[in-house]
Amino acid sequence: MRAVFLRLFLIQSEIKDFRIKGVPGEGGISGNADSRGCQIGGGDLFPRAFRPGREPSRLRGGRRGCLFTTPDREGGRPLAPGVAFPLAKKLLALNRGASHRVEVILISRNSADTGLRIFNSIRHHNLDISRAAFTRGESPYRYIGAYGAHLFLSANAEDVQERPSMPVLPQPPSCLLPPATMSPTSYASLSTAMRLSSRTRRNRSTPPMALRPSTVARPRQRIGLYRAGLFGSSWRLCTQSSPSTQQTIPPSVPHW
Amino acid sequence: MTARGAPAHERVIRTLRSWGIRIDEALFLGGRDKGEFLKAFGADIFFDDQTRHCESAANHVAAGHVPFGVKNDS
Repeated sequence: MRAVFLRLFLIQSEIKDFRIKGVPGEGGISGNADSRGCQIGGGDLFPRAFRPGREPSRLRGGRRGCLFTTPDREGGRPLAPGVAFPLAKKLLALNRGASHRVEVILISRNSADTGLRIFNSIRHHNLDISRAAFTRGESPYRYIGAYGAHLFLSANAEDVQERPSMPVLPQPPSCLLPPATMSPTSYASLSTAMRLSSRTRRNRSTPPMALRPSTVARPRQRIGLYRAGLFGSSWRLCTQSSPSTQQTIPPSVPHW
Repeated sequence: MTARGAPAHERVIRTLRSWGIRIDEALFLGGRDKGEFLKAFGADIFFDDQTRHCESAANHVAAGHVPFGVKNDS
């Protein structure tokens, strides 16, 4: 399976800004199956901006208010993990041993120059990610199908709603990640979303249910839920902050 | 757009920097066919020194083969 991620890493100083503006983060999860097994891709594995006063970087506004970092000549210090990082790491952990079940692909609105630092951060955090797209402000979601992704995950509702409308190639199922915090509660909420999704598959007439932080799955269940739920045929898109944006993603058959 | 992936990305980025070239989008495909990505990108024309990539791209955009470089020396 291939999964695409956004927000693999966090660029600390701008997190609040781009949440307020509703600007999608970088990275996501998308994926695709081949003879080796499954692959996963994504963005937002890393933060968007460098910490102010500690990095000689500047920020500038871009398309849709997207923020970019200036190129770092030396590849920069490793970026801190972002909202998608823990999930990506767990998915890649399924590849332990000789098997190659999952591939993670990074998509980002950052530039290729910043991409060097992101790749260096991937290496620093010992993640097995070799494919990536850096679009410098343009929508990265048109490439999800070309990468053959089986799954797309983002913490931003706008990202997830934009993706299915892209008129290119069969698109993978998508799911909204919890808001960009790395608390265990957030990932438990994702597990809960998947559990809700599997329940609602049986009864499509069930009205959308908002995710509540209080609906916490036990940590022991998480990987099992991911394995059972990530590749289902239907995903319920939920958001904690704005129930009006809830949406059910149409069924999509995985490529394998 | 390059068929390379990590860890070969670094040479690509640093080479472009040394030439003073700033690119709009960068795709590291890790060996995947370029055709579908060119279609998604909306390219008008594509050049490559490898006929394999030209054939893949020609299904979607105008493609031109550059008959130079180590891939064409033989």
